Amino acid sequence: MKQGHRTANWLLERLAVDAAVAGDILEEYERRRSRIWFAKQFMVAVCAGVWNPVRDDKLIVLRAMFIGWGAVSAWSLLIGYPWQLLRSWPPGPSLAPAKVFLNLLFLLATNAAVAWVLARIEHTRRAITLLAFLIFQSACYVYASYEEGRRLVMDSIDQPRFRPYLRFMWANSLRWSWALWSAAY
Amino acid sequence: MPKQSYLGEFELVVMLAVIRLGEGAYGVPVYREIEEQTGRGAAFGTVYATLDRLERKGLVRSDLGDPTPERGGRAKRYFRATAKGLRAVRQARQVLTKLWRGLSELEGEIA
Repeated sequence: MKQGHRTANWLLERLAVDAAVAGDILEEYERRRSRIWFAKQFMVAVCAGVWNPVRDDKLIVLRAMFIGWGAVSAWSLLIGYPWQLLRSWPPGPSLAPAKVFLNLLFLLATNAAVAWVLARIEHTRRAITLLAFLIFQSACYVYASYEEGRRLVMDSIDQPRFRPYLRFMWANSLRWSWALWSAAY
Repeated sequence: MPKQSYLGEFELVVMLAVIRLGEGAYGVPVYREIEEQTGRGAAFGTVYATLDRLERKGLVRSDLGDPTPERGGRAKRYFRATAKGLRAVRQARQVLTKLWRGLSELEGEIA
């Protein structure tokens, strides 16, 4: 299998694509099909892979939200106290690099733990479950930090010094998604 | 009177491709057959969504074959038309033929 095809295989494995469909796409891609052809097939297969389980079982999204939320709560209860201790150390402002790093570590560990739980409960449909939870989590995040985000975006337009914060927020959301997907697969 | 399974246009195309291919009807040959016969390329996702729908209606059935290296170790899913599926295709043909008959605007259009 060529390098490009290995990447395609990796992508198909990790997204909501049925094994038989993924196999057919790869087999046809090996037969001198273009990257544009692959991109089209990939997009349609992912959309179908996401939509079909939701159409067959409409409660899957609600289940993902409840299980994910339950896992977040259990995780927070489990390590809440040690985490409070960690947050007060080292002494200093809340945006000190060490504290920011610890905060990020906690968020990534939380997402990894939630993804692990979700992937084991909904083993056969883990991609759609993870995606549903990720959308739910992102919606909560946007709702909670909407004002802050809006202010940052507005301020960043004429004041470049705010842009690193905006980049940091964006990078964090990517890290969350990465942690979620990596722990599940 | 038993409930009849009406076939949509693409469902009919996929059914005919599966019937034409016989034993070797898995995703890739079905896709190529549709592309060759209709002159337009469909997406595998669309073909499989249609095949899944046909299977739920009981018009086709599927079995898993052996995995191969060029497919990243994934198994082929072979499809075969059921007796109900063959009846549905015959019925679709009869309905279309009846509708076609006597249309003077379309006389001579059929090859």
